[in-house]
Amino acid sequence: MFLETAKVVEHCHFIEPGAEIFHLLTLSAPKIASSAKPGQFVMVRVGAAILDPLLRRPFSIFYQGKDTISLLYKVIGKGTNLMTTWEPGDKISVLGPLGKGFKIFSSEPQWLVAGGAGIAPLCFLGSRLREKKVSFKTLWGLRYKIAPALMGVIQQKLGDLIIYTENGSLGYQGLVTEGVKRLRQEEKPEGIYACGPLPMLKALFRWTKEEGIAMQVSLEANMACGVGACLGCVIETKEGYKKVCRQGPVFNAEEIKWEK
Amino acid sequence: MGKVNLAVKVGRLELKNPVLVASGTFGYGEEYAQLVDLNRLGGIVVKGLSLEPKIGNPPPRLVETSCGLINAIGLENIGVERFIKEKLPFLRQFETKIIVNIFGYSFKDYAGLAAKLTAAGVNALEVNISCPNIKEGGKFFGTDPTSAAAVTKAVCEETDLPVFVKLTPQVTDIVEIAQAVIEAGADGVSMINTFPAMAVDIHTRRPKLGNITGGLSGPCLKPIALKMIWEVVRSLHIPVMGIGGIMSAADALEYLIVGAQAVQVGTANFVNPRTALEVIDGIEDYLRLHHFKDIKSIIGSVLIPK
Repeated sequence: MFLETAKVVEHCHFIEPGAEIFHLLTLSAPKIASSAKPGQFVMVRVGAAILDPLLRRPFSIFYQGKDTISLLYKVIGKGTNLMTTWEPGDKISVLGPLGKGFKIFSSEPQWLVAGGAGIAPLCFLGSRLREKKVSFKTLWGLRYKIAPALMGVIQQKLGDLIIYTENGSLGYQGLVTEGVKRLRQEEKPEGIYACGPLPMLKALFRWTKEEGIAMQVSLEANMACGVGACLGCVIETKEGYKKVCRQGPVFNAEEIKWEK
Repeated sequence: MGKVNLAVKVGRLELKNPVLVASGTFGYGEEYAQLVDLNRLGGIVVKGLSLEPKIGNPPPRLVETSCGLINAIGLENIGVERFIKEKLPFLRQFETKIIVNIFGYSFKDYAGLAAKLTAAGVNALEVNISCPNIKEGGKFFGTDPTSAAAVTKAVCEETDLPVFVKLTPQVTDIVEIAQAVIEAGADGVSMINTFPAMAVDIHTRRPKLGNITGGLSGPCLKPIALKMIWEVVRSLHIPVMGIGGIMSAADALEYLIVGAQAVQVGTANFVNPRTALEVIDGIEDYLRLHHFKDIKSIIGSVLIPK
């Protein structure tokens, strides 16, 4: 874990009519970059000199370069809104890498199932799986299409993806949770890694349980410290409350009390 | 440039510098040891402990508001026995004072905690009397001078350690409470605890916290805390540890100038884990700039126009 002053290297804004907007921030942070593992996250200080927004914001690492980390994000509040103004050369305080990442399943094939910005930790994981020559497929559910340039970035890391959009503007129309059922007719995965909105993860968990498929999920929670000190980010598991920041963010889906 | 003296004595508690980290914002110390040289801190106030472990409140436990953070952790902690066995040996390695925050549901709980921690060997106790759901008719110990004094007495009878009582700002007259705990034997007061608060999601129309309400901390609290400390110090001339939204040395200096003898950095630890160290350095720079050789020269030095 390092507290590093990172420099913005590149900041891409994928904005197109009718497309879901994403931003891709690449930071030079050599210490964090060299020790990060798929599924780990960083806490980014958003308002260095100002106190509102106050807390750091957690982001999963989207991919790792030699001395850089890249974060894929959507604007959801004043913190992420402010982040979009960052330009190359800006200096940002970053704490990381934090938390426990994914454990790679021992047998194949494996699936990555993402919803929206939940693609971020899975992209890092997928590129690691490719290096290890693990056979996997990626399913990604979105509301609308995304800019082709972003698709290019992701395909470069993950290879081909199976896309589901709610309005059918890209890939199949429908939810990614329907997509897994369709793909299941072709093959049975030996393990699934998932990240996305809670309703998606809940539905996936019900299905994987029926099918007897192991799943790891990357969860998010409101978080203040990121290091296990504030006890603010707990989720309910079968063994009581666990800290998303320290005992997660990746959990075995079995552990989680999903009905809560 | 001569050396400046940062050492202070708060009641009977001697600190090498007046900057501590506040309870609940620094875990049991080990969480931040990789990032912060704990030896440099004036002291560490450990996460609040109860006799038995406590699981805390249902999530979500945090919500950020403008310049503030509302938390409803619910005093989750591992209990005093595990603290003594598993956490204290680690903390003892460092050249800093270990102050343990304690809370209970009855006078007996507080007395028991004081006895156990005194036997285990810590440097001071901070008595949290601002927690709800307590036996005494559901009223906060912290809002009634008689109960506040009784808790303080129960603790002081079991310990010879310096005792600080952490006060809630949710009272009509904080001077009255401060006076009561000092007369009951406390060395000083830590003020202030979080301010009761809530936030609502307008789309779901539900409270943003699992516990519905929580305690507000962060920079938005500082002016309130400063005023309360100023009232207490000018009326009672007692040792105070100032807490509330300290983000920088300038913030800490305001507290010292109104009369706090030490300060605790809280929420800022989450934002920048090295805040306390930067505050220490900044205070030193300030003293040099203004040609003070000793921090005591500025404590309580506020100039009130006649």
